[in-house]
Amino acid sequence: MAGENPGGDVKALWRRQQEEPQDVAVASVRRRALTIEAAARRRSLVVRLSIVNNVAICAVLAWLMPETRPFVAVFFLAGLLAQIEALTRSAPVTAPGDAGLMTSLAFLRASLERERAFAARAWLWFLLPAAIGELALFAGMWATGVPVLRVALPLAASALAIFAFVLIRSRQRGRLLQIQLDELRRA
Amino acid sequence: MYADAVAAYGSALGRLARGYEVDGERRRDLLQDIHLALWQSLDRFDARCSLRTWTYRVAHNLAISKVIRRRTRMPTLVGVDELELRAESGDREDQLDRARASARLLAVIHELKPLDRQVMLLYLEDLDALEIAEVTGMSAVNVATKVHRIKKVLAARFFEGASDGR
Repeated sequence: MAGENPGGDVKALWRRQQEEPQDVAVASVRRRALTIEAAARRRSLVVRLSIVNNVAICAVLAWLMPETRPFVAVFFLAGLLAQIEALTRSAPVTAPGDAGLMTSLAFLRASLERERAFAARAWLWFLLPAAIGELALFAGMWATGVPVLRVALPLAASALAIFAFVLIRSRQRGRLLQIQLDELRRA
Repeated sequence: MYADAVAAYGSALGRLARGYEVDGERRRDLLQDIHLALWQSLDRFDARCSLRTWTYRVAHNLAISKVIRRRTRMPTLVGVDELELRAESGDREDQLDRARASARLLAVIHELKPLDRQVMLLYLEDLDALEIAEVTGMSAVNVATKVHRIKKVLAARFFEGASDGR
């Protein structure tokens, strides 16, 4: 090897490695930009559809059982809050424009802290409003004489299972991100 | 300015993408993402650092955040200190041909934790410790220590005299 590479320099080896054709023509970068924009639109669309779904469920409930309207309103607002928080707190699809202003340590710290806050505070921005919404719904059912044992309890059990899953997963994710943040601090 | 950056550092960006992504398709996506991010970011370029530092920051920040996101699926990444220990166990091959040596160099790079990988890639692109510190945000002393270890690893795995005094 040393004979083939007289400088004996691994930097030269690195720079002389066989280059692949680089598909970075303006047209391909534009196509990539469109793909990324489409991904961002898809994510936004999913949240909007879930809001529409929320509106439809609440409208049907309010129409079929007018006496539950105050409870349904609380359920709707709590759900809406959780949905909007999920959209605003999740990681951006596009690269941030300030990537060149920050060193890698600062950039990574900022993005990891953001993700950790997203995971570690899931109880605050998701579980709390969702629990309030569910409780309002059960209270509305109880107030209107819906058989609690037959309808509300199975619903509560499934809601609790979802809450437990979200809580455990978000805590696991938060711990993993904390480990990565600690590694960054040591660097 | 984008054209200037690509003319000066386009090849380096291609090599950087190779240093972060093994899979060809992902590598092409990463390279396009880097070019897109660079193009979008240059509106905010205020010449407080050189165009080279800016370009490397954008590229590495984008690439490293992708690696970090997939980190849970890659628990076997190691630091340069760990590689240094392994290198001392003596698995050098002096008679590698260039293609195998390139592949082996890439394999060493892909083993590294993201920040150590970044230091190694910048070192290979011939940035000095101060410039690497400017891109990474590590102290120059810390960078110098890592570069010293990188040189030892590279010397042990490739050539006895890999270092060039930087």
